[in-house]
Amino acid sequence: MLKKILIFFVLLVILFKANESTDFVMNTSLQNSIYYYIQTSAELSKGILFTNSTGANQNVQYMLVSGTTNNNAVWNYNNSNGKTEYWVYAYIQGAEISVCHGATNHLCSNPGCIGIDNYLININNAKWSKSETNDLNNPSISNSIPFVIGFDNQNKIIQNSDVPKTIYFRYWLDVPPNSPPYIFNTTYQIIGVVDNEC
Amino acid sequence: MNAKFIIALFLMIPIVSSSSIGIFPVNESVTIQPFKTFKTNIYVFNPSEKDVNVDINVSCKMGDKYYENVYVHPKRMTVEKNTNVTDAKPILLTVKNPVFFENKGVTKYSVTTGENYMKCKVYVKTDEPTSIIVTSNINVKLVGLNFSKLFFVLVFLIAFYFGIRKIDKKNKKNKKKDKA
Repeated sequence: MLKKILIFFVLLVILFKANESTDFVMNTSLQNSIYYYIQTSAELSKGILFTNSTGANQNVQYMLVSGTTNNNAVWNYNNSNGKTEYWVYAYIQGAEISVCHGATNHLCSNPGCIGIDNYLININNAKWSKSETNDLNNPSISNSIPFVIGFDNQNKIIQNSDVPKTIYFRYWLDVPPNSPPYIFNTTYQIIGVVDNEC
Repeated sequence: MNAKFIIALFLMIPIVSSSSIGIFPVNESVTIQPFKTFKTNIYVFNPSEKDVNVDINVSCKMGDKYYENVYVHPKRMTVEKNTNVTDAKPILLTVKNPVFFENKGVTKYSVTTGENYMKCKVYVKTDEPTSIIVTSNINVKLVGLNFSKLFFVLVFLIAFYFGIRKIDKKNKKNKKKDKA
Protein backbone atom coordinates (compact mmCIF):
# COMPACT_ATOMS: atom_id res chain seq x y z
CA MET A 1 0.00 0.00 0.00
CA LEU A 2 2.79 2.38 0.94
CA LYS A 3 4.44 1.65 -2.36
CA LYS A 4 1.26 2.59 -4.20
CA ILE A 5 0.95 5.87 -2.32
CA LEU A 6 4.60 6.70 -3.05
CA ILE A 7 4.14 5.98 -6.74
CA PHE A 8 1.00 8.10 -6.77
CA PHE A 9 2.76 11.11 -5.27
CA VAL A 10 5.69 10.77 -7.61
CA LEU A 11 3.25 10.85 -10.50
CA LEU A 12 1.50 13.88 -8.96
CA VAL A 13 4.79 15.74 -8.97
CA ILE A 14 5.28 14.76 -12.59
CA LEU A 15 1.77 16.11 -13.24
CA PHE A 16 2.72 19.57 -11.99
CA LYS A 17 6.06 19.48 -13.70
CA ALA A 18 4.21 18.80 -16.94
CA ASN A 19 3.04 22.40 -16.75
CA GLU A 20 6.49 23.82 -16.49
CA SER A 21 8.93 23.78 -19.30
CA THR A 22 12.64 24.30 -18.72
CA ASP A 23 13.18 27.02 -16.14
CA PHE A 24 13.68 30.36 -17.82
CA VAL A 25 17.09 31.70 -17.05
CA MET A 26 16.68 35.43 -16.66
CA ASN A 27 19.61 37.50 -17.62
CA THR A 28 19.30 40.72 -15.71
CA SER A 29 22.76 42.02 -16.35
CA LEU A 30 22.89 45.73 -16.93
CA GLN A 31 22.66 47.00 -20.46
CA ASN A 32 23.64 50.56 -19.79
CA SER A 33 24.44 51.25 -23.41
CA ILE A 34 20.70 51.74 -24.07
CA TYR A 35 19.21 54.59 -22.10
CA TYR A 36 17.80 58.07 -22.35
CA TYR A 37 17.18 61.11 -20.20
CA ILE A 38 15.05 64.20 -20.53
CA GLN A 39 16.04 67.61 -19.24
CA THR A 40 14.06 70.82 -19.04
CA SER A 41 15.50 74.33 -18.92
CA ALA A 42 15.59 76.19 -15.62
CA GLU A 43 12.73 78.47 -16.63
CA LEU A 44 10.60 75.60 -17.93
CA SER A 45 11.24 73.68 -14.69
CA LYS A 46 9.63 76.57 -12.79
CA GLY A 47 6.51 76.32 -14.86
CA ILE A 48 4.86 78.36 -17.61
CA LEU A 49 3.68 81.71 -16.30
CA PHE A 50 1.78 84.08 -18.55
CA THR A 51 2.14 87.82 -18.51
CA ASN A 52 1.03 90.96 -20.32
CA SER A 53 3.05 92.78 -22.99
CA THR A 54 5.00 94.84 -20.44
CA GLY A 55 5.88 91.73 -18.49
CA ALA A 56 6.95 89.94 -21.67
CA ASN A 57 9.48 92.73 -22.36
CA GLN A 58 10.77 92.63 -18.80
CA ASN A 59 10.54 88.86 -18.21
CA VAL A 60 8.33 89.49 -15.23
CA GLN A 61 4.83 88.17 -14.52
CA TYR A 62 2.08 90.80 -14.42
CA MET A 63 -1.65 90.42 -14.33
CA LEU A 64 -3.56 89.69 -17.52
CA VAL A 65 -6.66 91.42 -18.78
CA SER A 66 -9.84 89.54 -19.55
CA GLY A 67 -10.51 89.29 -23.29
CA THR A 68 -6.86 89.67 -24.39
CA THR A 69 -5.22 87.24 -26.78
CA ASN A 70 -1.75 85.90 -27.48
CA ASN A 71 -0.38 86.78 -24.07
CA ASN A 72 3.22 85.63 -23.88
CA ALA A 73 4.77 83.32 -21.34
CA VAL A 74 7.26 85.29 -19.22
CA TRP A 75 10.39 83.87 -20.87
CA ASN A 76 9.22 83.62 -24.48
CA TYR A 77 11.68 86.37 -25.35
CA ASN A 78 14.68 86.84 -23.10
CA ASN A 79 15.01 90.63 -22.95
CA SER A 80 18.79 90.44 -23.44
CA ASN A 81 18.89 88.31 -26.60
CA GLY A 82 15.32 87.77 -27.82
CA LYS A 83 15.58 83.98 -27.46
CA THR A 84 13.21 81.71 -25.62
CA GLU A 85 14.28 80.25 -22.30
CA TYR A 86 11.94 77.27 -22.63
CA TRP A 87 13.52 74.11 -23.97
CA VAL A 88 13.53 70.37 -23.58
CA TYR A 89 16.63 68.31 -24.19
CA ALA A 90 16.47 64.56 -24.78
CA TYR A 91 19.67 62.56 -24.69
CA ILE A 92 19.14 59.25 -26.44
CA GLN A 93 21.54 56.35 -26.71
CA GLY A 94 20.87 53.03 -28.43
CA ALA A 95 17.11 53.47 -28.64
CA GLU A 96 14.43 55.40 -30.47
CA ILE A 97 12.27 57.55 -28.31
CA SER A 98 9.33 59.86 -28.71
CA VAL A 99 8.50 62.74 -26.39
CA CYS A 100 5.07 64.27 -25.85
CA HIS A 101 3.63 66.91 -23.57
CA GLY A 102 0.27 68.06 -22.34
CA ALA A 103 -1.78 69.39 -19.48
CA THR A 104 -3.55 67.19 -16.96
CA ASN A 105 -6.64 69.39 -16.89
CA HIS A 106 -8.11 72.71 -17.97
CA LEU A 107 -6.98 75.92 -16.29
CA CYS A 108 -9.03 76.00 -13.11
CA SER A 109 -9.43 78.31 -10.17
CA ASN A 110 -9.81 75.32 -7.81
CA PRO A 111 -7.24 72.53 -7.53
CA GLY A 112 -8.41 69.51 -9.48
CA CYS A 113 -11.13 71.64 -11.09
CA ILE A 114 -13.63 70.55 -8.44
CA GLY A 115 -16.26 72.44 -6.52
CA ILE A 116 -19.32 74.43 -7.52
CA ASP A 117 -17.30 77.63 -7.26
CA ASN A 118 -14.61 76.42 -9.65
CA TYR A 119 -14.09 78.57 -12.72
CA LEU A 120 -12.63 76.89 -15.76
CA ILE A 121 -10.74 78.24 -18.74
CA ASN A 122 -10.56 75.67 -21.50
CA ILE A 123 -6.99 74.52 -21.95
CA ASN A 124 -7.12 75.02 -25.70
CA ASN A 125 -6.95 78.75 -25.01
CA ALA A 126 -3.30 78.05 -24.28
CA LYS A 127 -1.11 77.24 -27.28
CA TRP A 128 2.44 76.31 -27.99
CA SER A 129 4.96 76.23 -30.77
CA LYS A 130 8.21 74.34 -31.10
CA SER A 131 11.38 74.65 -33.14
CA GLU A 132 14.87 73.22 -33.30
CA THR A 133 16.07 76.78 -33.88
CA ASN A 134 16.00 79.46 -31.21
CA ASP A 135 15.81 83.08 -32.36
CA LEU A 136 13.37 85.98 -32.54
CA ASN A 137 11.25 84.26 -35.19
CA ASN A 138 11.45 80.65 -34.03
CA PRO A 139 9.47 79.16 -32.46
CA SER A 140 6.74 81.17 -34.09
CA ILE A 141 3.13 81.84 -33.09
CA SER A 142 2.14 81.19 -36.71
CA ASN A 143 2.83 77.46 -36.11
CA SER A 144 1.17 77.34 -32.73
CA ILE A 145 -1.01 74.43 -31.65
CA PRO A 146 -3.62 74.49 -28.88
CA PHE A 147 -2.93 72.44 -25.78
CA VAL A 148 -4.90 69.27 -25.14
CA ILE A 149 -5.67 67.37 -21.97
CA GLY A 150 -3.47 64.32 -21.63
CA PHE A 151 -0.51 63.75 -23.92
CA ASP A 152 -0.74 65.08 -27.43
CA ASN A 153 0.09 62.03 -29.55
CA GLN A 154 -0.80 63.88 -32.74
CA ASN A 155 1.75 66.60 -32.15
CA LYS A 156 4.74 65.00 -30.54
CA ILE A 157 7.65 67.12 -29.39
CA ILE A 158 10.09 64.48 -30.64
CA GLN A 159 9.13 61.48 -32.77
CA ASN A 160 11.16 58.27 -33.05
CA SER A 161 14.51 59.91 -32.62
CA ASP A 162 17.68 57.95 -31.95
CA VAL A 163 19.90 61.03 -31.61
CA PRO A 164 20.00 63.68 -28.88
CA LYS A 165 17.78 66.68 -29.54
CA THR A 166 17.00 70.09 -28.09
CA ILE A 167 13.54 71.44 -28.81
CA TYR A 168 12.67 75.09 -28.07
CA PHE A 169 9.20 76.29 -27.12
CA ARG A 170 7.09 79.38 -26.87
CA TYR A 171 3.69 79.56 -25.21
CA TRP A 172 0.72 81.95 -25.49
CA LEU A 173 -2.61 82.33 -23.77
CA ASP A 174 -5.94 83.82 -24.83
CA VAL A 175 -8.04 84.97 -21.92
CA PRO A 176 -11.76 84.58 -22.66
CA PRO A 177 -13.87 87.71 -22.22
CA ASN A 178 -15.55 88.17 -18.82
CA SER A 179 -13.15 85.78 -17.08
CA PRO A 180 -13.15 86.48 -13.34
CA PRO A 181 -10.07 87.75 -11.50
CA TYR A 182 -8.86 84.41 -10.13
CA ILE A 183 -5.56 82.55 -10.19
CA PHE A 184 -5.80 79.68 -12.63
CA ASN A 185 -3.60 76.61 -12.58
CA THR A 186 -3.08 73.29 -14.22
CA THR A 187 -0.25 70.76 -14.35
CA TYR A 188 2.04 70.35 -17.31
CA GLN A 189 3.83 67.09 -18.06
CA ILE A 190 6.45 65.90 -20.49
CA ILE A 191 6.80 62.18 -21.15
CA GLY A 192 9.36 60.04 -22.96
CA VAL A 193 8.37 56.67 -24.45
CA VAL A 194 10.11 54.02 -26.54
CA ASP A 195 7.06 52.67 -28.39
CA ASN A 196 5.83 55.95 -29.91
CA GLU A 197 2.67 55.75 -27.80
CA CYS A 198 2.54 58.52 -25.24
CA MET B 1 -13.91 98.49 -15.92
CA ASN B 2 -10.90 96.25 -16.28
CA ALA B 3 -11.19 92.79 -14.85
CA LYS B 4 -7.63 91.90 -14.00
CA PHE B 5 -6.38 88.61 -12.82
CA ILE B 6 -3.36 86.44 -12.66
CA ILE B 7 -3.06 83.24 -14.57
CA ALA B 8 -0.37 80.74 -13.72
CA LEU B 9 -0.07 77.54 -15.68
CA PHE B 10 1.95 76.02 -12.86
CA LEU B 11 2.57 76.31 -9.17
CA MET B 12 5.40 78.75 -8.55
CA ILE B 13 8.64 77.68 -6.98
CA PRO B 14 11.04 80.44 -5.87
CA ILE B 15 14.39 79.33 -7.25
CA VAL B 16 15.07 76.26 -9.35
CA SER B 17 17.60 75.17 -11.89
CA SER B 18 17.33 72.79 -14.82
CA SER B 19 15.76 69.41 -14.03
CA SER B 20 16.33 66.02 -15.55
CA ILE B 21 15.66 62.33 -15.15
CA GLY B 22 16.93 59.33 -17.08
CA ILE B 23 16.15 55.62 -17.18
CA PHE B 24 17.43 52.25 -18.33
CA PRO B 25 16.83 49.59 -19.49
CA VAL B 26 14.17 50.99 -21.77
CA ASN B 27 12.80 47.79 -23.27
CA GLU B 28 12.78 44.23 -21.94
CA SER B 29 11.02 41.02 -22.91
CA VAL B 30 10.39 38.17 -20.52
CA THR B 31 8.48 34.89 -20.24
CA ILE B 32 7.05 33.97 -16.84
CA GLN B 33 6.18 30.34 -16.20
CA PRO B 34 3.15 29.28 -14.13
CA PHE B 35 3.43 30.00 -10.41
CA LYS B 36 6.76 31.83 -10.94
CA THR B 37 7.78 35.39 -10.06
CA PHE B 38 9.89 37.64 -12.24
CA LYS B 39 12.08 40.29 -10.65
CA THR B 40 14.28 42.84 -12.30
CA ASN B 41 15.81 46.24 -11.65
CA ILE B 42 15.04 49.41 -13.54
CA TYR B 43 17.59 52.17 -13.00
CA VAL B 44 17.15 55.94 -12.81
CA PHE B 45 19.68 58.73 -12.83
CA ASN B 46 19.80 62.53 -12.86
CA PRO B 47 22.49 64.43 -14.77
CA SER B 48 21.19 67.86 -13.71
CA GLU B 49 22.58 70.11 -10.99
CA LYS B 50 19.81 69.50 -8.52
CA ASP B 51 18.28 66.55 -6.71
CA VAL B 52 14.84 65.47 -7.88
CA ASN B 53 12.11 63.60 -6.07
CA VAL B 54 10.33 61.03 -8.19
CA ASP B 55 7.13 59.03 -7.93
CA ILE B 56 7.24 55.56 -9.42
CA ASN B 57 4.46 53.33 -10.59
CA VAL B 58 3.85 50.51 -13.02
CA SER B 59 0.94 49.64 -15.24
CA CYS B 60 0.40 46.32 -17.07
CA LYS B 61 -2.27 45.75 -19.66
CA MET B 62 -3.43 42.41 -21.09
CA GLY B 63 -5.70 43.42 -23.93
CA ASP B 64 -7.95 46.01 -22.39
CA LYS B 65 -7.67 44.64 -18.85
CA TYR B 66 -5.22 45.78 -16.20
CA TYR B 67 -3.07 43.11 -14.58
CA GLU B 68 -2.82 43.50 -10.82
CA ASN B 69 0.03 41.18 -9.81
CA VAL B 70 2.79 43.65 -10.53
CA TYR B 71 4.69 45.84 -8.05
CA VAL B 72 7.47 48.39 -7.85
CA HIS B 73 9.60 49.32 -4.91
CA PRO B 74 10.16 51.99 -3.82
CA LYS B 75 7.19 54.10 -4.95
CA ARG B 76 8.96 57.35 -4.20
CA MET B 77 12.58 58.34 -3.89
CA THR B 78 15.14 61.09 -4.33
CA VAL B 79 17.49 60.82 -7.29
CA GLU B 80 20.65 62.70 -6.50
CA LYS B 81 22.09 65.31 -8.83
CA ASN B 82 25.02 64.67 -11.14
CA THR B 83 24.38 60.95 -11.46
CA ASN B 84 24.65 58.93 -14.64
CA VAL B 85 24.32 55.32 -15.85
CA THR B 86 27.29 54.16 -13.78
CA ASP B 87 25.83 55.28 -10.45
CA ALA B 88 22.11 55.00 -11.16
CA LYS B 89 19.58 54.08 -8.48
CA PRO B 90 17.65 50.81 -8.76
CA ILE B 91 13.91 50.30 -8.69
CA LEU B 92 12.74 46.74 -8.09
CA LEU B 93 10.02 45.51 -10.41
CA THR B 94 8.16 42.31 -9.51
CA VAL B 95 5.71 40.51 -11.77
CA LYS B 96 3.92 37.45 -10.43
CA ASN B 97 2.20 34.69 -12.35
CA PRO B 98 -0.05 33.03 -9.79
CA VAL B 99 -2.14 31.34 -12.54
CA PHE B 100 -5.20 31.56 -10.27
CA PHE B 101 -6.01 35.16 -9.43
CA GLU B 102 -8.78 37.33 -8.13
CA ASN B 103 -10.76 39.22 -10.70
CA LYS B 104 -12.42 42.61 -10.40
CA GLY B 105 -15.00 41.63 -12.98
CA VAL B 106 -18.09 39.45 -12.91
CA THR B 107 -16.13 36.22 -12.37
CA LYS B 108 -14.49 36.30 -8.96
CA TYR B 109 -11.48 34.18 -9.90
CA SER B 110 -9.71 33.60 -13.17
CA VAL B 111 -7.27 30.98 -14.37
CA THR B 112 -4.53 31.75 -16.80
CA THR B 113 -4.31 29.19 -19.57
CA GLY B 114 -2.10 29.01 -22.60
CA GLU B 115 0.13 31.97 -23.37
CA ASN B 116 -0.92 35.52 -22.65
CA TYR B 117 0.90 38.64 -23.74
CA MET B 118 0.88 41.87 -21.85
CA LYS B 119 2.60 45.23 -21.99
CA CYS B 120 3.97 46.73 -18.80
CA LYS B 121 5.24 50.24 -18.42
CA VAL B 122 7.20 51.62 -15.50
CA TYR B 123 6.65 55.36 -15.02
CA VAL B 124 9.12 57.57 -13.17
CA LYS B 125 7.78 61.09 -12.68
CA THR B 126 9.57 64.09 -11.22
CA ASP B 127 7.85 66.07 -8.52
CA GLU B 128 8.29 69.46 -10.19
CA PRO B 129 6.00 72.20 -11.54
CA THR B 130 6.87 70.89 -14.99
CA SER B 131 6.89 67.13 -14.47
CA ILE B 132 9.18 64.97 -16.54
CA ILE B 133 8.12 61.35 -16.93
CA VAL B 134 10.46 58.70 -18.27
CA THR B 135 9.20 55.21 -19.03
CA SER B 136 10.52 51.72 -19.48
CA ASN B 137 8.68 48.97 -21.36
CA ILE B 138 8.53 45.34 -20.28
CA ASN B 139 6.86 42.93 -22.70
CA VAL B 140 5.63 39.94 -20.74
CA LYS B 141 4.52 36.51 -21.88
CA LEU B 142 2.54 34.90 -19.06
CA VAL B 143 2.41 31.14 -19.42
CA GLY B 144 -0.72 29.58 -17.97
CA LEU B 145 -1.87 26.03 -17.35
CA ASN B 146 -1.44 23.68 -20.26
CA PHE B 147 -4.63 21.64 -20.16
CA SER B 148 -3.74 19.25 -22.96
CA LYS B 149 -0.59 18.14 -21.13
CA LEU B 150 -2.49 18.02 -17.83
CA PHE B 151 -5.22 15.91 -19.38
CA PHE B 152 -2.76 13.39 -20.82
CA VAL B 153 -0.92 12.95 -17.53
CA LEU B 154 -4.19 12.68 -15.60
CA VAL B 155 -5.47 9.94 -17.92
CA PHE B 156 -2.18 8.11 -17.56
CA LEU B 157 -2.35 8.41 -13.75
CA ILE B 158 -5.90 7.05 -13.62
CA ALA B 159 -5.06 4.16 -15.95
CA PHE B 160 -1.96 3.42 -13.93
CA TYR B 161 -3.93 3.43 -10.68
CA PHE B 162 -6.56 1.01 -11.96
CA GLY B 163 -3.81 -1.14 -13.42
CA ILE B 164 -2.13 -1.34 -10.00
CA ARG B 165 -5.44 -2.24 -8.36
CA LYS B 166 -6.07 -5.05 -10.83
CA ILE B 167 -2.60 -6.50 -10.26
CA ASP B 168 -3.12 -6.21 -6.50
CA LYS B 169 -6.46 -8.09 -6.70
CA LYS B 170 -4.88 -10.82 -8.79
CA ASN B 171 -2.02 -11.20 -6.29
CA LYS B 172 -4.49 -11.51 -3.37
CA LYS B 173 -6.48 -14.20 -5.26
CA ASN B 174 -3.29 -16.18 -5.95
CA LYS B 175 -2.26 -15.97 -2.29
CA LYS B 176 -5.66 -17.36 -1.21
CA LYS B 177 -5.35 -20.22 -3.70
CA ASP B 178 -1.84 -21.03 -2.40
CA LYS B 179 -3.09 -21.15 1.21
CA ALA B 180 -5.93 -23.40 0.24
